[in-house]
Amino acid sequence: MNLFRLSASYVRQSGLATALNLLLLMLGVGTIVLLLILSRELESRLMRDAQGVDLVVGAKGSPLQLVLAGVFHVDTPTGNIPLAEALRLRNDPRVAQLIPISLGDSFGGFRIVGTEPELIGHYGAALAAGRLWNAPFDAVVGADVAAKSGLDVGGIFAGVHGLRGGGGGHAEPYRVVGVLRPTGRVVDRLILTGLASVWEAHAHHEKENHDAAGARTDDDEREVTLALIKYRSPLATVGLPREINAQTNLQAASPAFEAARLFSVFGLGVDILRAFALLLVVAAALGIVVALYRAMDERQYDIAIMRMLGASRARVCGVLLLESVLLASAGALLGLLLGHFAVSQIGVMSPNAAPLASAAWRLLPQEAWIIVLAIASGILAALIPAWRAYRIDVAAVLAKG
Amino acid sequence: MFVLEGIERRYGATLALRIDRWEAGTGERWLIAGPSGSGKSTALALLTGLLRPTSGTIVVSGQNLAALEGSALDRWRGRTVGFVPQRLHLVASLSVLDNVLLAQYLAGKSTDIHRARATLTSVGLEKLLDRRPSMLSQGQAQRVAVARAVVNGPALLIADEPTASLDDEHAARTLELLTSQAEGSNATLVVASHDGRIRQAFAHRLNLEHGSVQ
Repeated sequence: MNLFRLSASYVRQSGLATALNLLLLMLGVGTIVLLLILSRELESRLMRDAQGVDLVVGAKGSPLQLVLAGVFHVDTPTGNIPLAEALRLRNDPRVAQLIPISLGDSFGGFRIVGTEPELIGHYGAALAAGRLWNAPFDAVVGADVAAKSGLDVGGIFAGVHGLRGGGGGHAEPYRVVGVLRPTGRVVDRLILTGLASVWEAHAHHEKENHDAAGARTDDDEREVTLALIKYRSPLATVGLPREINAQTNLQAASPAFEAARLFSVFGLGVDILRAFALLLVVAAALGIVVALYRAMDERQYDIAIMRMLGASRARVCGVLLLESVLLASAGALLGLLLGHFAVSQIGVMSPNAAPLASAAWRLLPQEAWIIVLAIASGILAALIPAWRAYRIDVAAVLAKG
Repeated sequence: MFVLEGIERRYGATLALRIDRWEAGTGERWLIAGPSGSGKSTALALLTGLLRPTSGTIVVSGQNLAALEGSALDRWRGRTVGFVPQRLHLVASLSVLDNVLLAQYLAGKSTDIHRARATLTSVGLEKLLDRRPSMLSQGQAQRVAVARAVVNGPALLIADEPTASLDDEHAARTLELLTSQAEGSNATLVVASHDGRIRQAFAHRLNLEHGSVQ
């Protein structure tokens, strides 16, 4: 027999009330953990994908859209720009690297990206099999693309017009000549090919449909969608974007700035959800207060007899505090489990969130705080009942019978 | 075994109990008799140190209770006094055995499961160790309460109205249980009761009426 066993017996005894409070706590803590993990993963994914890209140049329009299209590959691009104009920036002494990118087609929901081989190095990717492209319609597929579409070296597929599928098909099929190793970055979900492939695909397309999308075969008038720029030194941040925006028909957008802007909008939603989750935790704590307080009417006899049997005032308060803390910690621990489990399930169920499945069980430093907070709220919840227990008139309660 | 001297206990201006002198020897059986409201409960509370006298001294087992404070008094009570309350007050969330172990634990002794079992066996409950109090009959529950009171080998065994709600047969059995258990640990037995049926069993009596010894 000890204090812990006694408190635990009370937790078990109060069945339904305990279960409900536990559930409330669990949901609140679970939601907080879920939000923490999701925003950590989202932020780190955004950071990873934007890493090494100091500036995106493309057609005028929304800078956020340009970044979403060119860096995160989730939005349609703002338009096309002349290749020549993009290449002129390559000669700027402030630019260390410029990689042109042409978008427009997709296969099975994966984007076909016309670019130069430097893009592979930029993402720190390497070939797992095969070789790089050296002719139009040679394609190198990212690891996710290979895994999900089943494409392997030697495979043949036809791109469709548009970035989400559903557009018209192209006559010329692509040939898979290489497969990339997984990197955990956006390149895993891309199909890379030479710029020429995109030009040729759209030249055919234009001839057939008299559609103005895409680029002309004429060298000087060739177009790309955008270009990723890496600065030689951070000093370039000061002048280059402003120069491009003011003096050319191009638009320059900073991925770091746009991602932060996006995240601040997203962060507001997270904050609101987190407030709701906190509300659940507070409701659970209040539930524990009410449950303990109501139990005190019956418990006063137990407390009186415990005092009679030799327990000090401090010890009977300890029983109540421990009971409340046990309940709160159990709720917090179950909530942590629930949060992690929910994230892993999102990862399992949604292919786009697959990396979450493996990231789900990594612990966050904030989780230690959640446990500390739970214990603190457990202590707070027990304060009033414990005070009642402290002041109980043992002789009167026992005599009352 | 205990001496109460010049005791007065007042609630405000009202005198609840006055005992000029009450002395009991080791192993004696005492009955505090009197109708309800006569001061029996107050007398018991004074003996156990739960209540302080307004004036006078109480010495139990050589210990002047006025010299003990706070948790020291609680600990003294746990080790010296065995108490069987009228309503028993077993802890409902604990088994029969755990209720008895709780008494050892709260008295600050190391829990001795063999002693707890032996005590429960001596009151005839060896087969009900894992039962919850809610699954016990009134008689069985009273036996648990007695076992809980004597498990620490108290010098003073106190019972408050132990036979109030029992029929003649059970009242006699309860009394027999209390006396045999008190004898077993050589404890002084003090029973507060207004039950006329059990008067004959006690050689020593303290008759209270309106807070005074008659």
